Amino acid sequence: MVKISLKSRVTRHTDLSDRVDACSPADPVPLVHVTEIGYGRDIILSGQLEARFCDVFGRDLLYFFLGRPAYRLKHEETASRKITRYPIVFVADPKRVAATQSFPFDTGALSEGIYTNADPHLAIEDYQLNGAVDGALRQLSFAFQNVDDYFAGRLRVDIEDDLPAFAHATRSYIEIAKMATHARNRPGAFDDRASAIEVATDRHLDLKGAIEMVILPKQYLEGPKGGANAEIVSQLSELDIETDTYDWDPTKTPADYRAEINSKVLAFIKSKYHR
Amino acid sequence: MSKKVASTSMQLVGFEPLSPEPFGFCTAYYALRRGSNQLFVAHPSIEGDPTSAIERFSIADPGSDYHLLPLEVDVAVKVGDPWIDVLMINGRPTVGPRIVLIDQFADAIEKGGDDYPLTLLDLVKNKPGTQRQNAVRRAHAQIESALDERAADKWAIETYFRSQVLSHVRKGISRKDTSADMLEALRNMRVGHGLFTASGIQIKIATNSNGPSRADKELAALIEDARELKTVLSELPSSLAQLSHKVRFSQSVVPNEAVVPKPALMVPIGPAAARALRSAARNVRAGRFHHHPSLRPDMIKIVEREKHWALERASFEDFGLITVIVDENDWNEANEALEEVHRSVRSQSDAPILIAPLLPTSRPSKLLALEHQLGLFDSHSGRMLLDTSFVRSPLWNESPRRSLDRRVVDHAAIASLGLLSIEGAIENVLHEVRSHPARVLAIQPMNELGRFSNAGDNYSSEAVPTSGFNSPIIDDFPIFSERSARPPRGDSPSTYRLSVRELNKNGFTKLAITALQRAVMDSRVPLGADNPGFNEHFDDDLVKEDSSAIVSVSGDRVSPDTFLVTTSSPSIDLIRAAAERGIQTVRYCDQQSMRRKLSNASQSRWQFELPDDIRPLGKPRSKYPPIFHRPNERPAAIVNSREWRRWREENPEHPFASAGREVIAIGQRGNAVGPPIIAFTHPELDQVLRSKDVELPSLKPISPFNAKRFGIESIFLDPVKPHEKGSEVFRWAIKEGRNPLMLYCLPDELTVSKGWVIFDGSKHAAAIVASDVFSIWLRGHQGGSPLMSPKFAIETVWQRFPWPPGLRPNFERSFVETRDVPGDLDKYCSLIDFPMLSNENIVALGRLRPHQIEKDLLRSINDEVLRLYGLENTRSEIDVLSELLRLSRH
Repeated sequence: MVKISLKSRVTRHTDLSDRVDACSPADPVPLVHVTEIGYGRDIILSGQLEARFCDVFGRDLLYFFLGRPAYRLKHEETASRKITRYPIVFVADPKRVAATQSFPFDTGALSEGIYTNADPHLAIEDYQLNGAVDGALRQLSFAFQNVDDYFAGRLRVDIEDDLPAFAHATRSYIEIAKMATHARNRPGAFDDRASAIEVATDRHLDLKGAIEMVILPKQYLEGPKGGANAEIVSQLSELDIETDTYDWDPTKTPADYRAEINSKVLAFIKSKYHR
Repeated sequence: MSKKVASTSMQLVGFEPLSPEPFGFCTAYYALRRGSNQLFVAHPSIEGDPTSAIERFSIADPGSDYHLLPLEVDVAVKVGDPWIDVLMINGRPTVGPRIVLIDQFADAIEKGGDDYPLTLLDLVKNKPGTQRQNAVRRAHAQIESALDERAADKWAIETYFRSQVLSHVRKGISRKDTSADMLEALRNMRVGHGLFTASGIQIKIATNSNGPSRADKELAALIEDARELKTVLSELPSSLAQLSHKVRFSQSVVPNEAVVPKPALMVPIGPAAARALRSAARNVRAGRFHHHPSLRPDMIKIVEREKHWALERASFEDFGLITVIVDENDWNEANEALEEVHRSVRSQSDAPILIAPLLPTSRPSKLLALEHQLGLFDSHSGRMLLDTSFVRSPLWNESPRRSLDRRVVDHAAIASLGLLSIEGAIENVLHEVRSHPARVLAIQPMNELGRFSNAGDNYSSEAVPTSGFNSPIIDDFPIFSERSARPPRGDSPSTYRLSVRELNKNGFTKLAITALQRAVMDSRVPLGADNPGFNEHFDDDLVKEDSSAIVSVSGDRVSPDTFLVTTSSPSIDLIRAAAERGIQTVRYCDQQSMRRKLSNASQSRWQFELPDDIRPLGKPRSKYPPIFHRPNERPAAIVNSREWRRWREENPEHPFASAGREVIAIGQRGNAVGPPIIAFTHPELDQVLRSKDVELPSLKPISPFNAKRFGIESIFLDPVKPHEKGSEVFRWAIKEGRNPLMLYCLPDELTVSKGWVIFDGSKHAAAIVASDVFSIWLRGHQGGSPLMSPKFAIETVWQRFPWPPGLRPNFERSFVETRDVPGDLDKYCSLIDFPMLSNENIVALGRLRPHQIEKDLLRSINDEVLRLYGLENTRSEIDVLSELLRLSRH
């Protein structure tokens, strides 16, 4: 397992961020935060997504992915015991998030050494994009043809054309991002987070006005008046958040929920953002 | 970690509810026994279908809301048993198959269960009828009350109906061997999403193929014609109940789940293709073939017989790719067969067809030539062509010992695995070919530097010498090669690049330069490439300008070596014409000859060499009885040598005691070494049989089966003729397939088996056979470095060798004797220490102890032999060959 150095250096590789800066931003895409339903309940009831202390960057941060609900762990269906069986998804308006940083992939997975094909000589800041949401949207158009391809993890076919050998950060990013494509080059290497663009803010986020949609298991829409579920639904209504559901059933795998959730978020993006 | 528990009974021990409410279906946890720390979840055989059976269990960690079931709940299940649910109603878990739970909660279903209508709908969702109709309407009303009508309608179509479609399709296709990518496309199916209009509900399914395949269309029919789904819709609240549904296929937007493609089928056209595939199939059966680390190991299936283009108990529909290995030796037959394969495949399947031409030995493939290749795509969709000529390229870095045909099979297998493993690769390549039929699929292994240079720069083959357009790189992919099919832990696969290139004839010079750089193992050696005046140098019928290049290698040499590098094997006439102009000819893939020339330039006596790869002169006619012999006699009897000696000591006077000869039991490669044996001729045996006074020795014969196994089924048993005994004529044995030739002196009492060439002659004759002159004669007629001399070569080329003045072949008695040789040759010949062939010269495992004449001595002998022919001043092997040819015609 390749561990990435987190130590700051005097100079950093900027070839990736330079290339990304040269691209126009993609059409707007919302930010997505995925967590377990248990935490989700607390978030809804508290009305706030909290920035929490992050071991990777050593400060309080609240994480999102650009558009894609990439909560998937490696070998979700078969290999991992700690799977997210009950996910809940918050879709946030990017204009309401005071984002402070963006990276082309899930930095948590990088620091855990999950991206085994990353260039071990690079530090995490070598991948940092300039700008937050704007940088993330530029990254989307740099690496992907469109939002469908981004959801599919399918990199632009010409992304490596004319790429010089010394573009270390870009080359390493491409190697990492391939872990989220069908070209699963090594057994066990597939990870959806490898090309999900990460955006973070160091502030808490009030749900009201910022969260546009929540996707939760359909069973959360039933229950007696005054019950726990009713409280959640009522709070969502009060916060004026659109609610959608996925079909949770013990006979289904988490991969099934994920596919359904993905298709719902993508449909939301197309109907609301890319009309 | 995943763990399958096949036959072990698992105890249902606990559950985890989804929500904090005291009702709803829960995740059920199993353990091998109560109290065990390790918990499992079950997986149904049809995902999402509670009426299916348990297919497997996998280890899982529950969350914080895990509850143990009371001890009185004693449910044990194993794989194959019906699915078991844990349903919580009013805080009390109830356990059982869903069908049983329906009965158990019939009252609640009837009354409507105000608090949990969605749970009750889940309970009856697989059971059409009034119960379900009531349940779905109550659930709709519940959502409408919790949110609003729009959200309720959205749920009804996009969540509930979608789930029903998915369940129906999964059940419908579970009886077939459905491809994993189709299952994955289904998982990502989009239903509604505001797409449902007055015209009905749209069900969008991604397709990976180039437009809906036949399987896709069957899937659409399965959904659109399903009475069950129409019933599901009719049960929805009245505002939705009239909707119809329609399937639409879209370009792939399938997110990246574990797509497992169907395997590739490799099919032969022509005998050479069938032979090469049979050889590969042996390794496939042994589990030692190329494989992709994240695909199943059996992704390559092989048809081993010509004209039987399918496997038993399988149809073309079972394969994601049909890879056809084409032997174009008989061009018309190959084309017809290709059409027939195409028709057979298309009658059952839309699978794409990858055409992989075998390479003719001495020239480029016609199928990979622009003028012929375009016909492959006339009115044929779904075809791709693989640039197999890369296996002859200097950039090919696999084993050069492997035959060209096997290399093509390996290359095609790796290409097939690449196409199957990379998402969208087949569609991309087909798209490229559709718009530019001259484009071919190219596979390139990672070079020694461990990295590819810039895209398109370093691919070069005889069909694609240069990449004239911005070659689309499809992707890189890993392969465990055949050699490391069972890699030790930590071994890593090789990486290959899959791209699309354009066939062209331009820029052969680049390939020529790459080949020469490769030969000197140094890309820094300055090379100049120049073709001006090419036409003045060579006639067009000798060599074409666009398939050859003149390249000078200077480096630090005083005088540069100039090469004429050719695509095809050069003819002797071309080599001679080039040598007359001071140019060494070599084929671009003849690395040995390039290397020999470039590394030995100052030491070799030859300024112009006969390269290994040439268009040979072919077999000359021989009008004389043979001098050289291959063992071709079946012995009358073979016995164990040790037993024979013991018997002979006991019966020294027996007439049979002087018969028989010991056989040097080293035959063909790969044969086992047998015990020392004695072989008898038919006349020897007849002599004993005819004598009434003596009995045959009671020795146990070695069975013919073992004789074949040990490579001794044919033996050289001609006796040494009496008049040669005591003369200066000896018997020589030459092991076939050795270059340079190695000569051993064969004692009278020994003989050799298959794999040897025998001749009787003087020491001087043996020295000539060991010399460069004999080697030039052989190489000119049969090409260089033959591993095994072809049978015809022994019977014609060897026999027709023009012996120099001073040696006389006696064809009647089959030996070569010395009449008169110069003193120097005699002196050097007497210094040669030809080893006597004996079983001591056979080292372990049947290998022959190598023997070569000392270098300086051989050089002196070469000089003297050339002098015999009057060629002592020549610096060109081609001149030597010309003189030998002249002599042989007289």
